[in-house]
Amino acid sequence: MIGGASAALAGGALIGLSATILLVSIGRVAGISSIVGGLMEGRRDGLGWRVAFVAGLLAGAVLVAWMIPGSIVPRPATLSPVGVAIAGLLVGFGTQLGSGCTSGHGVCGLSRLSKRSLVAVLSFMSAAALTTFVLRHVLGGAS
Amino acid sequence: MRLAVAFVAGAVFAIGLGLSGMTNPERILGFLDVAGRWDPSLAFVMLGAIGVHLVPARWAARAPRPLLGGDFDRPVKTATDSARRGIGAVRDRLGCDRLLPGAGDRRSGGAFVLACRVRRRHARWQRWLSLRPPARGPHWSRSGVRRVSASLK
Repeated sequence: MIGGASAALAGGALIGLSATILLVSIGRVAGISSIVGGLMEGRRDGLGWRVAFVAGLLAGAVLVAWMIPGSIVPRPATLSPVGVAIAGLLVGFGTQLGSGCTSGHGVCGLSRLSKRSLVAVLSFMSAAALTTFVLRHVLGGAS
Repeated sequence: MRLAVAFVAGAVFAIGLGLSGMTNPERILGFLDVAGRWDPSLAFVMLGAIGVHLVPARWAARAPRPLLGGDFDRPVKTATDSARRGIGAVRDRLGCDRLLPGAGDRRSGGAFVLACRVRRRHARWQRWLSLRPPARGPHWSRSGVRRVSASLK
């Protein structure tokens, strides 16, 4: 198992670097949900950089799966593919409703010291922790 | 060029995710499972990302243009901003500035004066954080704020 705090810190720094590259050079916010959302809406403006960014994400995923075997786990062992699909739908719905995800609100928004992003991060983090608590300890799935 | 930069940014992002452990559902659940065997290490992902991005983000808030041209995609504020603008509009209607010319009027001003003072401090705080570009042109808050602070001193 790769991991630990130092890998997390280094990986986080890379994410921050990515957001910096995007913002400083072309003035765009590295919010994954907004980037993908823009693609789904089929918006013409900014189509190019969105496609390029997502292509980079996929290429990076292939690269990292090759460099660090086992780093990318396709799905949690306790969840069926249908469950994953439902979870994905919920993520898509929620991030569009909240106009941002962990990267957009968490990394970019908090770096901008945006109050709205702080509220968003606190809401989704606590909602996620609560969901985990209910699923694991109240309903007692996987411990 | 812009496309190449976006591609590289995407790749770096994915490598960061993979390296940090964010692509392992077990790690994510471990981070969220506060009441169980809590694994707080993923907090360092956010810490590292914000640590790197904080200063460039402040630069971008002031810079006129990105390095490769075009303009900044400044996130459109919705909920909080429109609420603030609503309050500002109401305050404007009621002539908040006129409630603040001197100490004598302060009593009659009541809650409004308080609101205005809070607003003023807030504006200064935001300027310090450089979340907003320096005041330019006649805008209710900025012009009002300035006159108010001068008259209260």
